Amino acid sequence: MSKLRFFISMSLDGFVAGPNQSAKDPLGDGGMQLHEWIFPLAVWRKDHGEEGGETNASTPVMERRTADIGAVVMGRKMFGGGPGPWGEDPWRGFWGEAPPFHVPVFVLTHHAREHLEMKGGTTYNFVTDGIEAALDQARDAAGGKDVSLAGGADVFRQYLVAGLVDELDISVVPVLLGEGERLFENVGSEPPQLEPVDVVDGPGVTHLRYRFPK
Amino acid sequence: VSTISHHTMSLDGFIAGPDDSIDWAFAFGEPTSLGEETMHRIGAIVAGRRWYELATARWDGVGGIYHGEWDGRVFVLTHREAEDADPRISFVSGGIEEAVGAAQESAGDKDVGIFGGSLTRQCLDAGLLDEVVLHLAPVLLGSGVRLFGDERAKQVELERVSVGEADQLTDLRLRVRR
Repeated sequence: MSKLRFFISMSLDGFVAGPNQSAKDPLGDGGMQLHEWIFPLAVWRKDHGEEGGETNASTPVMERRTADIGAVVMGRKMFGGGPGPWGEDPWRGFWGEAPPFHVPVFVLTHHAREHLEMKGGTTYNFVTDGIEAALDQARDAAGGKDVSLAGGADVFRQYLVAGLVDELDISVVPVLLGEGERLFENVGSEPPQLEPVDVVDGPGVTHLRYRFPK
Repeated sequence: VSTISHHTMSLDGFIAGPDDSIDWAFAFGEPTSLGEETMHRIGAIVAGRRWYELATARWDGVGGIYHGEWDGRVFVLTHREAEDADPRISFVSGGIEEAVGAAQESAGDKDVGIFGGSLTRQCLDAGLLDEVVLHLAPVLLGSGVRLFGDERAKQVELERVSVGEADQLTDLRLRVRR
């Protein structure tokens, strides 16, 4: 069966965003440091329409994260546009008219909405009946490929606690943010068991991959 | 002489689980040689009251440290001295500087080990910590004692010195940037 895979950058003390997160600054104070290892990579620059960049030990990690992905699930906050009803001129995502997903995306929301066809193979589908329904629909759309959980951290935790995450790919950045949003918060008194898969040592980041045995 | 915080930490950041449990830490095999290297570097240890209670209950004192293979003194930062403590344990009530200072004196040319989440944070806040050595365990504990504390704290940059893969543990050695 196709897997549900989640990747994210985390500080050594467990934060995925700094304090004072807002719609304008979703990473919070200091949160950008968690992603600085990505920007010099040629593979990232190419995905974002830029030339040049470098290839290093983190390159295959970036490549594997997008390989064999047939659909994406994300939370409403990740998609953006603020909470509540969509309004007259509804938000069309953070990523412009040609988003970098190139596959069907399933957005968890309490507010129903017609699906959106974007350029480059991305469609946005809005799911109002919960995380399991969204995953089922994503799996159908993925046609045997895996499903990528795009976040945010709160949606990840919902899938984690429900035992639905198959693979966790964490990029640990050697900084202590000291406050902000923790990745693992309220994961319950019996969090799921995990197994290490592999470790990749990149410049300024350590990539740790785990699977959840079923 | 360096000050080294040395722990086995769960993926969600805990060095002790619910009810101070630490048995989980032994379930993932041995670390790489980094564990032993760190032990040999450490000449004296600063620990907290929580470590003292746990170590006294489980090992009658210092016997459990590094499987009993380590030789040195432990300085426990606490306001409540205990009687009949292991002769290798001393109590320090003055504060983190005093405790680290006493341990440095005892360690001689060797380094000082820091055991405990609260103490690691106190050392970071006081600018006394040089290194963090971690054996990262593939487990989520959900609650317990966090290595880097529960309270809001200032940002600290580190520099990774080495990464190693053991049986199931991931070993990280990091230097604190100041």
